[in-house]
Amino acid sequence: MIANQLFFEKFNQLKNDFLAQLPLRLKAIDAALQACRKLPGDEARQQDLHRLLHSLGGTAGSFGFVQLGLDAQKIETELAALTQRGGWNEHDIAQIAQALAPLKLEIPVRQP
Amino acid sequence: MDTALPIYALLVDDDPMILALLSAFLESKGYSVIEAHDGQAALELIAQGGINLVVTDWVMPCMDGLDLCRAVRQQQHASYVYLIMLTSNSQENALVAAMEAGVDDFLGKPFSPAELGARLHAAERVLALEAGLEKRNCKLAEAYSQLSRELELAKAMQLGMLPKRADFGRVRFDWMFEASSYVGGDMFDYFSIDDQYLCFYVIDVSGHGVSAAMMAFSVQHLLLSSAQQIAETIASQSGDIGLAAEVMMAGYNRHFMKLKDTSLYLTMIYGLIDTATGQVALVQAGHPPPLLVLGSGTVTPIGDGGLPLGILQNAAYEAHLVQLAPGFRLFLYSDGITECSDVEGKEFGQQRLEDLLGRQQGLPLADAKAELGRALFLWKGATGAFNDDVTLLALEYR
Repeated sequence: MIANQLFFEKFNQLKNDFLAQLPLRLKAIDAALQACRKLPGDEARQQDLHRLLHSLGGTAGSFGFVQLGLDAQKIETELAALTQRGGWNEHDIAQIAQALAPLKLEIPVRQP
Repeated sequence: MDTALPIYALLVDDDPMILALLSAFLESKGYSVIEAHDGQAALELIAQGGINLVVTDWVMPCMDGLDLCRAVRQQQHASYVYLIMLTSNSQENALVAAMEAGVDDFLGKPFSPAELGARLHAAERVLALEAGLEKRNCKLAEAYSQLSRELELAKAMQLGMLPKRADFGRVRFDWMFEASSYVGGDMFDYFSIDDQYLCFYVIDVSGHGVSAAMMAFSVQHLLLSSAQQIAETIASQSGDIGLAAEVMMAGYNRHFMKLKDTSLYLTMIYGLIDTATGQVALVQAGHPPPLLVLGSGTVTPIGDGGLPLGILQNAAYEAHLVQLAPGFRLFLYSDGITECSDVEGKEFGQQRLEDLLGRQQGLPLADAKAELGRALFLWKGATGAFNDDVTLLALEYR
């Protein structure tokens, strides 16, 4: 019981840390998207963006921010499909930017 | 923690938040936890040993989770490393690829503590089972090693109980023996009954291994201790060694019939020789026929079978009398010679043995015996040990 209690205390603390970091994560995603826009065929930049979204999806969901997690995962899946199709063009990147926009509006309220 | 087995967990993820969350959960279960931020760093930590649980993300820089799992399975570890893959990819082909890479279980991402707890329970069960198996394997290896040492010792004892090559007046004995495994069921011996008579025999106890060898030891002891009884039996049969041999053999059979709780039986050639006259009485109990080789090299099998000892309570045994002249030889042998297989499974055979012994008649007895040994090794080829004990007892009358 004590172990569980300690875990949940830690969980809440990490959840707050995550919320505090969230704007930075979204900023990093935005920066990665801009990099992709500058170098449309650059696979390394595309992987960076993919990884950041993957990380956001997994982390947000694990801290209970289900919708944010699902939306990030949805975009991540779309990126993977684009990559499998044979690379991203400018039109694709514009679509990705459009898909990413609502994420900024989903920043949850930080817990006290 | 609900298992006594200590869990040393490695968490692998490029997201520090996920690492911290997983770490807090695993530590709350009493696990020892270390972290790595990519597959390559994780692999180096795992190679150092001691880790028995890895929870890894799939998508990571440097080396992804899939490659990490493949690499872990290629490493040699003192104990099993249980791999859990964190993944948001639930497509069948992705899961199949992960299983083929050596992943033991999956955890959906995002994960819930309840599901992670359940997965970890499964991991604990597998690791405890594996540790139990490893412990049992160690005990088995130890027991096998001890058994091997004891069997080696038993083999040394068996070899130590074989008779020395010897001459008894006009009779020369020589022999060849190759055990098929550590110990076997073949045994032979020769000894003086008195100044005039000698006893000699070859036995083959059914089966192989310790029980057969113990039975063979027991037979050797019985026969060796019966010298006085043989002398008295020859005397009571008015010097007729044929009748004496038949009486002795029937007595041995009754003795072995009394042995309980054993399905073992044995075949034997039993011989008595009058060294003064060269007369030999041979009794066959289910053993391959002895071969008489005349001075000319003509080979004659003696006897027609007879029942093995320990099969039938009142079995009767018939002696065959053979008159030896100087230069004549008698060969007693086990079926390990005639049934010795070559690489294709073809047996050496009775006829080949007879032909070879007939051709070697001009050679000294020790050389003839050595030639047979060489022929058998050549015949066996690269098939490892003999598939049965190989015994040859040679007697030359001079």
